[in-house]
Order: sequence, then structure tokens, then C-alpha cells
Amino acid sequence: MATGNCDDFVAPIMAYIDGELSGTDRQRLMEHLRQCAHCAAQVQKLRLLRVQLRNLPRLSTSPGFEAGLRARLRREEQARSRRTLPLATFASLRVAGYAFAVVVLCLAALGALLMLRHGHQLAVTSKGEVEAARLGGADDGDTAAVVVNYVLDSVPIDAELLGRGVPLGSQTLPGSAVPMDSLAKGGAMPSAVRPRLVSF
Amino acid sequence: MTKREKAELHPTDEELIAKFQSGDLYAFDVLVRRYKNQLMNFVCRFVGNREEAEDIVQDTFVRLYRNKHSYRRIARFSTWIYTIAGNLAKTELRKRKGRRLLAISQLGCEDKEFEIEDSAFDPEQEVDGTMKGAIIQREIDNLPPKFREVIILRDIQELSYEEISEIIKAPLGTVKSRVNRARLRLQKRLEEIAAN
Repeated sequence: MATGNCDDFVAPIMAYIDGELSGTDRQRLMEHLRQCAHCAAQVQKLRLLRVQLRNLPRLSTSPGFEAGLRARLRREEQARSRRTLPLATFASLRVAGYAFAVVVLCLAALGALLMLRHGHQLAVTSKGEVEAARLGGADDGDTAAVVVNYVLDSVPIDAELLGRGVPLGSQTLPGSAVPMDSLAKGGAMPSAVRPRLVSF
Repeated sequence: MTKREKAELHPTDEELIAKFQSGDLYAFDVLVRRYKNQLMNFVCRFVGNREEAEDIVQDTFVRLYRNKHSYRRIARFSTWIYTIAGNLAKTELRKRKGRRLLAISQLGCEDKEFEIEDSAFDPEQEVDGTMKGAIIQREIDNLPPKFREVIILRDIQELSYEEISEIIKAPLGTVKSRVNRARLRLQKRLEEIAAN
């Protein structure tokens, strides 16, 4: 009578066929095979199967395999370079576009800044022209504008004051009781408010 | 011959892939020559069709060429390339299942005339051998892919269980169990055929 259940010997039989069974496991299997004709036959069949599988013809690639592979790799390289060229162009165009946009924005910002400043100066200059006319003695329009600019800058902007016809000449300079009219009449300007030439 | 000279004459796969990663295209050619037939044998036995197999092997080398830097030295090159080929073969089998096509005109793996090297060649024996080979291949084709893959890798390609475990990314016990079941199924089928 066979020692043990045949199902328990499936894995040891496979390991034995693979040449990976040793020690007591191998002894146990040998003992079982001596007593079990079914498992002994199974071992023979499986050994034969292994031999048949190992002896199957070795399949090889066709003679043109390597040439075909090289041609395919070459085609792929060419296709990739064709694909990457427009991409590179597109990328460089995109960068150029960004750079252009930045330049335009900078120019716009600069323009806006200049316009704001210029606009303020224009407004002041028009008042300055008036004031220069009132001052009479000022030959240089710019100097007069600067005078008024200075004066206006010193005066807190008050819409009511500026917009409702309060004669500028009747205003007093900050920190001084000297009316501006007196300046127009050749009065001395307090040193604290003496205009300075400012270059823009 | 010194050890160094020998190493230069017969670089390992890992040395070759390292050279290829550094831009040496000759190393790629050597790898192709070294593996093209092994992979062809594996893939053709797996998908059961010569033309498809050759395309898959070519795809495998194209992947190697394109993704050479994805290989890390922690794995053996052989298992890495077998994994790529195996995955492509499985993808092809899935596509085929979707197509449900079985063209009669397609060349099976055993349909090619093999080169005769032996001068004492016996045509009858060869026909008998080819027929046996074709029958075995047909029965291999009838195995479920997960059994088919491991029995080819183990009993035809003669890889170790550890290598197969790395290739199919499955535990060693699973690999052994699948090989055992594949052998028993195949052996049973061949026995039935022989009895009929």
C-alpha cells in the first residue's frame, strides 16, 4: 500500500522533475513512488513532457529582422525630428510672444505713468501760465510753472477751493499769511516758500 | 586571457545596456543579436503566430531603444526585456480576443521549414518530429495565457522560477503552482491525443 495521499505528492513530484528536491522530502517521495504505480507513471510522463518541450525546435527571427528593425528605428527618428521641429518653433514663438507681451505691458505701464505725470503737469502748467501772467515778471514759462507747481503741491488739494473760482491770488501760502496777490505785486516771498527750480 | 580581456570580449547584458545608455549604439546591436531569437521563441510560442511574434519582438527592441534610461541596474536585463516582450504579447492576445479573428492563412510557429543541420537527416523522423511539435504547440495555445506563459518560460526557455517570478511580477509560490498546473493539463491533453 502506498505511503500517504497521492495529492500530497504533486508538488514534490514537480520539484523532483525540476531537480530541486533533496533530503528527507526526496526520500519520502522515493518511498512513495516505490509503492505507488500511478505516481511512478506520472513521474515518467511528466519527465517525457519536459523532454518534449525542451526539444521543441528553437524558433528564430527571419533573416531580414535586424534590417527591418534598423529601418523602423530610422523612420521613427525621422518622424520624431519632424514632430519636434514644429514643436521647437512653436515653443520659441511662444517665448517670443510672451516676451513681446511683457514689453508691450511695460511700455503701456510706462506710457500710463508718463501720461499721469504729464497730465498733472499740464494741469499745473495751465494754472502756471495763469500764474505766470499774474506774476508778470517771469520770463521763463517753465520757471513759472515750477513756481506754481511748488505752490500747488504745498497746498492741500481741495476741490472746492480749486474748482469754484476762489481766486488763486487771494489764497495764502501755507505757513504764511502773505497773500499770493502780494507776490504778484512784487512782494517778498517768505524764504520758507521760496520756489526752487526743479528738474523733471 | 585575463579576466578583464574576457569581460571586454564578452560583456554582460548589464554592461551592454549601460554602454547603450551612454550612447553606444553598437551595444544595442549586440543586445539585439543576443536576445532576438530567445524572445522570438518565447513570444511565438506564447501568441502562436510567427508574423505577430516577429512584430512583437521588433516592438520590444523599439521600446528598449526608446526607453533605455528606464532600465535600472536593480533588475537583471534579461528579466526586464522578457517582461516587456511578455506584456506586449499579452496586449496582442487581448486585442486578438477583441477581434475574434483566426485567420487560416496565418503562419503558426511550427509552420516554418527549419534549417537542417544534420547530414544524416531522416525526413520521416523530421515529419514525425514536426507533427509532434505542432501538436504540442497547439495544446500550448489551448492553455489559458497565465499557464501558457509560465510553462514556456520554465520548460522551453528554461528560466529559473526566480527569474519567472521577476518577469511576471508574481510570488514564487504562485509561479510554481501555475507551472505545476500547466504541466498536468498539458500532459493530460497529450495523453488523450495519444490514446485517440
